[in-house]
Amino acid sequence: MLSRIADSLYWIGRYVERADQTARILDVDLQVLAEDATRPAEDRLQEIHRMFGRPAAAAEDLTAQRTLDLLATDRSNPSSVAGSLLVARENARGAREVLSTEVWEALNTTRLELPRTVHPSRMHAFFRWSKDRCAVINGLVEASMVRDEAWLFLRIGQLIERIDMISRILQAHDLEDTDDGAVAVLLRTCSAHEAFIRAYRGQVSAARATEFLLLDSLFPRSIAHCLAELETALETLARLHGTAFDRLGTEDPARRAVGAALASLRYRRLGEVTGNLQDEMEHLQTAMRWISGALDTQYFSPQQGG
Amino acid sequence: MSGASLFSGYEPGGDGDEMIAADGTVRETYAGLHAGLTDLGVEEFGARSESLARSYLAQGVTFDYAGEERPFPIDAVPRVIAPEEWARVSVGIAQRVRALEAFLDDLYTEQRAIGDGVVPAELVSSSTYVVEAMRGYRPPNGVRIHISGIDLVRDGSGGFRVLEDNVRTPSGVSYVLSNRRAMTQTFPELFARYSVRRVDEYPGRLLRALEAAAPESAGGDPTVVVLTPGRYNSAYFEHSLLARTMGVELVEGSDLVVRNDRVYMRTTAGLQRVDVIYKRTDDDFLDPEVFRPDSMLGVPGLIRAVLAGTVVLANAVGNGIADDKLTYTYVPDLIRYYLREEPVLPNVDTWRLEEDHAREEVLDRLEELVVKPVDGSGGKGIVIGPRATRAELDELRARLVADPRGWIAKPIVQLSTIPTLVEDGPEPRHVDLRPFALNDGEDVWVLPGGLTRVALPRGEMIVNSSRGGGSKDTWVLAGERPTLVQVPTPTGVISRVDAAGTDEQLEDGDMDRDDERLAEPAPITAAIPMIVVEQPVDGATDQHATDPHPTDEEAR
Repeated sequence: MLSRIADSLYWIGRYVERADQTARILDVDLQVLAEDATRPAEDRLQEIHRMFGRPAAAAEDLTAQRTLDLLATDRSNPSSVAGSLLVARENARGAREVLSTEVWEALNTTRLELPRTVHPSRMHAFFRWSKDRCAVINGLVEASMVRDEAWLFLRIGQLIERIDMISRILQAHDLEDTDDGAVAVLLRTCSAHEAFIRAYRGQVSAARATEFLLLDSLFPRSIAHCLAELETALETLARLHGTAFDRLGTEDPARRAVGAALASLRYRRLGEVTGNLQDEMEHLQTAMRWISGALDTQYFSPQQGG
Repeated sequence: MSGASLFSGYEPGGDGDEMIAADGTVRETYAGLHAGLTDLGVEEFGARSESLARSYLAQGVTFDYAGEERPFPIDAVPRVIAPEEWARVSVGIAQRVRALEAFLDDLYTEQRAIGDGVVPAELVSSSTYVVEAMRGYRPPNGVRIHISGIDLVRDGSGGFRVLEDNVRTPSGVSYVLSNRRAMTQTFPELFARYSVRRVDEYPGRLLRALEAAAPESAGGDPTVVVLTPGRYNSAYFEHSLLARTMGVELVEGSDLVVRNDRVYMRTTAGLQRVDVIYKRTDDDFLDPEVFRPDSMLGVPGLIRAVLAGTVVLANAVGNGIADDKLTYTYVPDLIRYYLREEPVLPNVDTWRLEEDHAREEVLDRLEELVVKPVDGSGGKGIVIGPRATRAELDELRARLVADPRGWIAKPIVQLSTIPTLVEDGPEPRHVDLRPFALNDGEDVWVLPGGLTRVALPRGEMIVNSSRGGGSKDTWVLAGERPTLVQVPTPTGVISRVDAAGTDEQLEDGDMDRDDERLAEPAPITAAIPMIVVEQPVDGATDQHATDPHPTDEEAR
């Protein structure tokens, strides 16, 4: 597969996931503004902006409408829902010959239907639509694409983005001084509330919620689950390229990074991880950047000899 | 035909309409379509037409214009071509391609045609399209024009004439494929009335023609790629569709690298060798070593690899001389010279000003002709007689006399129309036709159909997407009986063409066995609307390059 196309597929995976997760976060966190009047709305909005890498949002940006403008519908911001979907579609346009027609058309029609603005009273409809579109795209990727390199790069992009986003959500929802309500918000932001309730029979606590989001091996958005999937995907990719060996340990920098991250979650006490959650999540994000760089060196823009 | 039908308000505006004659009768070829559309009813037809447009939007069937991605409009009324007429078109196109192949081969090697006085030496020496680096080069299977698009128009007498030859990078075949797919999905019942010949074998045939062009070093399984300038090229949709339907990589210049005179593409598994490149870029941007050193595009060393015989470019570099607007005027002579046949499809009349009798005639009739400089591009320097002032014509006259070598002249040609759905219902709109041909070294195969382009704005004579042009699905009907197309030759060999479009050579004596002459198409005479027929604009092979019409005459 062409290096350039592999790169595009990886970014389609990342941006579709980013759009999906951003819609989930905004959907819950903006909803909470209405549900919970105990904290000033500006504080919550500031927190949302911080999560998306806008650390010092201007005072005039701290309204629901402005937040929607910037993070939901701004087409020029590749971190907004609309921006992510557009970048994904642009990448798909350059990689149409390896995507199935269904996946392409799902991305293309999504762009055609994107609203220019969304009013707070209609935002949930927009977020539902966004999540539905991402589900359609992901479903068609699963149902119509051969499990070859193209699919693997999409999947790897999706997993890296998901790990990155969940770790940011965990950072943003500081669990030190939280009540059960705040924990529920965290779980809902990760679309994990119902799954958690079933797993723990309804007893919400900050420690258990963190454990669930970090370590539950069955929940598809837990960090441990995503890391394990990522490890498998990287290994399959290496095997396709004839560079996987049937022994423990590897020279592949991406696989080493993901293995190290997984082991550090799996084999340490939970308290060690959660005791310094901010730094742990920072490390995880660094590891994802590192893996992304390693993929770039090896597959997307390798220094190839003749 | 039911009462208040789709076509009840239709005014063909003369006898130049392909569906409805001046007296209001429906031409035989279109009878089934006309009945089918009438049965659908006005509302249902409108709804289907809308759904057709929506499906194109969803699929992203677009062309890029000035950096903007626009949907390529498809009109819901198809064009229908009778089997007998197609047989002639098909033979005529193949004949033209064979002659142009012979011309290119000759030109880059022995130049016999110049020695024998068929074309003047200046044709070559004055052309900017001859690529010196390719002198003496012969492709492995001899083919230089793997893919061609020969533009045709129907003239006042109803027959097809050649408007221009495109043997560099003709585009538009993707719309032929997607138009058919969309039409069969949207109007299945219309197809039930006819036996329409399929177009979907094109990608497979294209791949085989490209594989057949591979150098011997490629072995039994050559690697073919499509080379695109990128997603901002006007025809990017097509590049992508062809790569997808052939199952080959779509590469950009930066994906390719030349090492030791071999071309490789950068893949996730390292460098992989490439044997055949279907290039969709202009020659000028192919290789900065040979063409434009300032170009950031292109693959350094690509031409060296071609000359070393390790890779083949389709179409060959340097083909521009064969679709040059002056060369066009010699094509009938080239057919006689190389093939010893008479041209099956006539040219649109063109006068070369350097010839005394032609110059005299043109100077007499300046106010009714179109005159353009041989080296002009993008419509530069064109004088449209009926539109020019007296002073402009006088100035032109002086320039023609001073430099006759630099000019050609053409009549204003009348173009046929086909009903086309606009807001108020079907109205006549002007069309042309670009059939596509593939040469695999054994045969020249002509795709049954081609791209019918339609000028959508009322009265617009320019069938160009950048002027709001659209397209129509083009139906070549399957015939029931073999049809004979006679290609007169000095040796008496004729080509027999059955309605399925395959042709074979017959010896003299076979003639009396099935001597069915080509049925003449229903004459289409004296169409009122006119179009200025012009030669291709340099480097604009992706667009139809007719020039602005002198007047804003309405279609009726």
